[in-house]
Amino acid sequence: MSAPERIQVEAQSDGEDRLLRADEPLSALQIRCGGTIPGAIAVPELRELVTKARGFGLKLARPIIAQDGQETIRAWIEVTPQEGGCLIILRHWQASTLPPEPADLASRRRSEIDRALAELTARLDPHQRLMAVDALASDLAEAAQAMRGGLGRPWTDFVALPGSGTRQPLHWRLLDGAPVEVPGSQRMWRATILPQTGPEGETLGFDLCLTSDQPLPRPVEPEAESLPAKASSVIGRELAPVLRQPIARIIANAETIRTRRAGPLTEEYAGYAGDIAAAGQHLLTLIEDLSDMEIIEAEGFAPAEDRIDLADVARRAAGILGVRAREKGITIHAPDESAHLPAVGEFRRVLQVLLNLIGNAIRYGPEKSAISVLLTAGAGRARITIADQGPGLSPQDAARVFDKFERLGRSGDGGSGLGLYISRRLARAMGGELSVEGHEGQGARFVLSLPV
Amino acid sequence: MTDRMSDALGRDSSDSSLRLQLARGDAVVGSVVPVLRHLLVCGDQGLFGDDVLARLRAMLDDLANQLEAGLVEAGGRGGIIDTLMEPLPEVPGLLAHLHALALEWQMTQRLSDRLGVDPVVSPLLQALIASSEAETSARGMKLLAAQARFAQNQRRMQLPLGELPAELLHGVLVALHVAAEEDGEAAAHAADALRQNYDEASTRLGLLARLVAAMGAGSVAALALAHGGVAMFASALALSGDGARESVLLSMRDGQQARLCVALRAGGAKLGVIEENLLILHPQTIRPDGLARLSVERAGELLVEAAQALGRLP
Repeated sequence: MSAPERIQVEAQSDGEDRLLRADEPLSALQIRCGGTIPGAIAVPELRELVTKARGFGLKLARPIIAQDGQETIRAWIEVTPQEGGCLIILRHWQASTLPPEPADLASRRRSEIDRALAELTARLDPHQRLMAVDALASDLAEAAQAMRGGLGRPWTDFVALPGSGTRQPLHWRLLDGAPVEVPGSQRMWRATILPQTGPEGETLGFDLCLTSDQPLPRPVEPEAESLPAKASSVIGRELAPVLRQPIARIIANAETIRTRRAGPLTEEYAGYAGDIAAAGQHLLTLIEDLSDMEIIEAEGFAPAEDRIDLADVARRAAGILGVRAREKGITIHAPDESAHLPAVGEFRRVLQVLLNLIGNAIRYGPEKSAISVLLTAGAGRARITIADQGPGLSPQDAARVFDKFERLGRSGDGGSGLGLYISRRLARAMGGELSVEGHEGQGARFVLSLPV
Repeated sequence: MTDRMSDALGRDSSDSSLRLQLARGDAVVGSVVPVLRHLLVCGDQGLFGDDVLARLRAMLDDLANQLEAGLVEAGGRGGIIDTLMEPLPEVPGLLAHLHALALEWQMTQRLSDRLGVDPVVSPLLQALIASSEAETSARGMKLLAAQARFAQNQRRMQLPLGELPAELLHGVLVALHVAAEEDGEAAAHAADALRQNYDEASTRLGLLARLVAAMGAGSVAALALAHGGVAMFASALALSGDGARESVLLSMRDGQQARLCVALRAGGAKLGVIEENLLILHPQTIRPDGLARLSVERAGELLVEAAQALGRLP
């Protein structure tokens, strides 16, 4: 492990195997597998490994093979259990397209899934007349009642088939997969018709399954944790998920070109690919920041009031950014293991703020400089100071630096101008404050204070 | 067998010890016929040969010794080797793993005797070490050192605890807790120390898997037994399939030619390479029918179908 790897993907999980943070392309895989960040690890193979490493307290290292429905991904994974979570490192990421499934297997699986998910099932005779009906969902009760009252009539009498004028039931193959409207239900349904064949190949009857892509809308419950994200986010809920995957793909492909994995290439083109990857990464950060901003600005946003150890959070943030700092020859002086500083705030939000502050310090600090992380307490506050040896801020800049989209005239360094704005909003939402001190030419000192 | 035993253990009553003994007795009686059948019918006596069994016993003994040493170091009383020999064989997967290691070493020696393949540095490993990529070369050197240790340990019939896969080490440490019941605190300390020092990536099997994974599609080169050597062959074939190295090593024995051929084909090995491997492992037998027409995709399907028939896959 001494030689540095070209492509290394890092991720961090917590004590309940939730992914707190993940680099591309793992974060994209997590999302394609139906997960969120932060959120429970959604890649089953990875989850198994992380659970094992945490449960055993042993450092695990093995290859995994995962699938996201389109690709098979092979990677080498090293999981190191740490206090309250695991550090996950992936190497040798290789994606290959899944071979197409045999057609009969695919259709068999589809009918199995339809049967399992059907919210209304009915047995039909060979002429598609109803013989028995069973419905699970409450919005189908009305239709099921009507059908039970009308056994012996074609099932199509009880539903509406958009785009099909004729009243008679069509041939079953034409109705299989057709969209269906059910009286009493707001949802859109799809009919699946599965024929029952006798020994001579004759049709004995059909199983009718109605499935819907939309879940039954739940009665609104005031759920504390789901409140903030759902408020009315256009970017976070609608735009971000759609954009993440294609951008992640752009980055991954650009990386492949940059590292010349598919064959030799001139230096210039590899350089351009590097630019594409960097631009993609920037776009991704921007999307994350925008959706974060939306969540934070939404009404009713309330971070959890956990008892946390600020020293521990600082050590983790420093650990997470250690690789990036070392690339620039920057040393991070994090609080040592014996230091503790209790505070009240939401763990991952505080981590987010510290990651932003230390990340900025690395980005704008000169090479081979040092970043100090200092803890102080007093007057019912816990304070953490991130001091860098960069150019510092003028009083005018210090006044503007927390503004939305403020870049202080910088460009092309991967920043979105939202990080500090979000960090300050977060600090204030947790009953704390984020401020900046220091004069031009003396480095910047960002101070996060939290209640204790 | 284990189901019945855990049933007997699960019901809490005064005669549970009797029930446990009955269940154990039944398990022994139940396994008499399969073992006899195997010994009588199967041509390959090596699977349960005296040397394999002796090696298995010795490795178990060695594990128990190391556990006791750890316990004593942590301030425990020791003298638990005999007690340990009861729960150790019950650790799920441990016996299969040790058995596979014994077979691996046996085959490594055979390959060395018959074909002159170095038990430590196979031609493929040599090529990897000579690679111009510093990373590959360094990893190759690490594997060489680990493989040399393995050879030495096998000659002494030993197995360091730190070389076990994580699940097995965990199981073994649980066994330590069971055996050292009266010395609970020392056992916990000993287990903690072992856990702290463990790094699966630096075990021989970890290094093998890593090297094979890093080779990507090139790992098919390891599927030629004489080129890759038994260790890399087994790891590469396991990683190309469902990942169980133990069953790969079993499939290299007599009577398993069909499985080996199909697995190799599914892993992408060329027909010529498969025949060569067969010739090395089973010089007397002819190759299985239908191999010449077997495509890589069909081979994969065959394996899935076989696993489904056994009820291992849905």
